[in-house]
Amino acid sequence: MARVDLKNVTKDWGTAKAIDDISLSLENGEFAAVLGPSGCGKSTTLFMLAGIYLPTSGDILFDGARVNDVEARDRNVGIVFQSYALYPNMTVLQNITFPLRFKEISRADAERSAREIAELVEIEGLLDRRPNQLSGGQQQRVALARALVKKPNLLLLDEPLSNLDATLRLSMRTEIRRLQRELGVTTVLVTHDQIEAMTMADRIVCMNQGRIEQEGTPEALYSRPETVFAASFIGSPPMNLLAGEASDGGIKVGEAVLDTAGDVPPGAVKVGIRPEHITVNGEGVQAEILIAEPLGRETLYTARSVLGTTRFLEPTSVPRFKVGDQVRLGFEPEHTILFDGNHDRRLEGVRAHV
Amino acid sequence: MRASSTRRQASNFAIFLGPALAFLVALLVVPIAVDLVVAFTDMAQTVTVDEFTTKQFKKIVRVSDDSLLGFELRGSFYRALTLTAIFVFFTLSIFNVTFGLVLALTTTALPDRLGAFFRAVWLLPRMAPSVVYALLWIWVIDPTERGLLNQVLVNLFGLEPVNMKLDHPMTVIVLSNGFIGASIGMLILTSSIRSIPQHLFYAARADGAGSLSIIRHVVMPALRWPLSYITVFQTLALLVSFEYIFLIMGPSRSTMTMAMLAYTKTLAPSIGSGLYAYGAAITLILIVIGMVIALLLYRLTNMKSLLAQPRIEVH
Ligand SMILES: Nc1ncnc2c1ncn2[C@@H]1O[C@H](COP(=O)(O)OP(=O)(O)OP(=O)(O)O)[C@@H](O)[C@H]1O
Ligand SMILES: [Mg+2]
Repeated sequence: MARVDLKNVTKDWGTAKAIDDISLSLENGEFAAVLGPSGCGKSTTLFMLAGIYLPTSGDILFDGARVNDVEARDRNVGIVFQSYALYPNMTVLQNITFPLRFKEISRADAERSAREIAELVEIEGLLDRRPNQLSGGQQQRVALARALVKKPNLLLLDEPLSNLDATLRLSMRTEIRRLQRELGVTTVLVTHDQIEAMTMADRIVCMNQGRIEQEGTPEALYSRPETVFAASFIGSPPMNLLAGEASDGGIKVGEAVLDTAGDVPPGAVKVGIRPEHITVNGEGVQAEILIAEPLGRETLYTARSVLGTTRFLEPTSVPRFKVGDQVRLGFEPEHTILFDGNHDRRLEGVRAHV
Repeated sequence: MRASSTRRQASNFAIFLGPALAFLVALLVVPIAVDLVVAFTDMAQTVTVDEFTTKQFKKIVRVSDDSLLGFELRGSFYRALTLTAIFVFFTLSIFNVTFGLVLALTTTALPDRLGAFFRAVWLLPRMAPSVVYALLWIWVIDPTERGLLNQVLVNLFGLEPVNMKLDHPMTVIVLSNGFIGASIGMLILTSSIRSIPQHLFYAARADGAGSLSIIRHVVMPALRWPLSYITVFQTLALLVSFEYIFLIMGPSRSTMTMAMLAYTKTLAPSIGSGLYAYGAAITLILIVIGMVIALLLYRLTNMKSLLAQPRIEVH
């Protein structure tokens, strides 16, 4: 178990900066999710923690000690790769005991630990098989067992669930979370699935183009996104972002003018409002339904109004409106988030409403 | 449905395997058949066949009535058998497999450009015409003080010059064939190592494995099939190869392997050639030896199980 710090870490591949000056601290036993779009540097960050890649500059600390020069094999880090990376020529049992070969543990003890951990991830019946005789979900459990068997200080998971079907993904989510709690191991999960990040992690680190866009609890990221990127990346369906121009008279969005609360500095702004926070047929602007998409428990509508194109959710499984219907759309000021239109950063203490 | 699928199978067979089969027959089956026929005749300088006979093989088994020549031919055959075994075994085990593997492992561990450079250096002799490569060796082992080896021995180490051709003839042909043969193993093994998923190496390092353990547990298992392939393929190639032996050593008795013997007794001008039937008999024996060795290695290296697993199931 370890406390992990990244201090001003940069990774430059020569062709591009994959990681651009990130700093991050993980508490002992914490479960953090690194969330971001493809190519933003998630795997690179993980591989630097594992000691597979060396940072170009900056420091990585485990329990306060600098580990930049510590080789991967001496870091005691367990890692699950997106491809699982099981050794194809070894049986499941041999795969799981492999990390113990390099520790001073007798063969019998190693096998006992492996069987224990196999039971924990429920693959005790598969120990004699080879990886190519396993399903994706089973391979994933083997990879997890191999990462956990050496009782790592730090567990790194690189999109471990992306190859699984929806049901299996759901159960593995709970299972990984349970295991992590049980073992109390500091864990970093890399994912581009925001629901995975929100449901599993104590803390989400949202990354974009090699930088940390925002970090915090899932609630904080959801309700108080600091940047336009975080606002649009977290939440599904994504937040509506209405581009407007602020002046003394309010915010002009399209042909409408929104009232403001607080001091909105004049200039370009973006008004963020989540689809589930749009009120229908109360006070508001006239809108026409363009698309109605039943999502199961709720229905997602896309509508056009003087505000532009907006999306809103209705908690009915059968669509209440059909394409072409006229509705009135509005929102409460406490649900709005305003961003500076030039820097895409959140403006503190200001609201807008129709 | 059935009928059309059978027809399609037949036409697929003709389209995809037809050219290869024709090629196989023209270039492999026909020469072997010709060799088979000639081996059981008395064809000599005149290139005429007077009778069908097994006397070529008898020459090998016991001293024939043809007195002196028969005695000589029998001796040459057993000597050639031994020399071939030595030549193939050492060239294959030291160079084609081991050295090829070492080259592949080291050049893939180096930074990309440097590795590519070293591989290119090892490929140079393959790109040069055989005669140039042979001349290079002749210069290296030249017994006078002009030879590179002797220059090094005499000037750098103050030793006596050596006559490699006379004193270590087999070493010369093993080295010269090995240096050129290692590059094939190197290329095949390099591409096999390259095709191992990068994540496996990362996983092994994170699991605590050092370089040697990674070679043993990650790299070597992936090389089983290419190593088997190289062993079988190169054994067969070396059995019949005589190009460099002939170019460097000439028709010297000290390096007269089976392939050399078959060549000198038949086609080599002005060095006792023209014994076509005898050469054909030796070649036939060589073919049988090759087949037996291929089958043995095939069993030994478990290549069957590797070949038998279809990657895609075809119906
Ligand atoms: N070995 C490498 N050499 C050069 N550039 C690299 C290398 N590995 C990664 N990169 C670059 O670094 C950036 C970050 O890559 P990384 O693999 O960390 O992305 P990621 O966030 O994990 O994406 P994904 O979700 O697609 O896995 C990318 O622009 C990638 O092209
Ligand atoms: Mg990745």
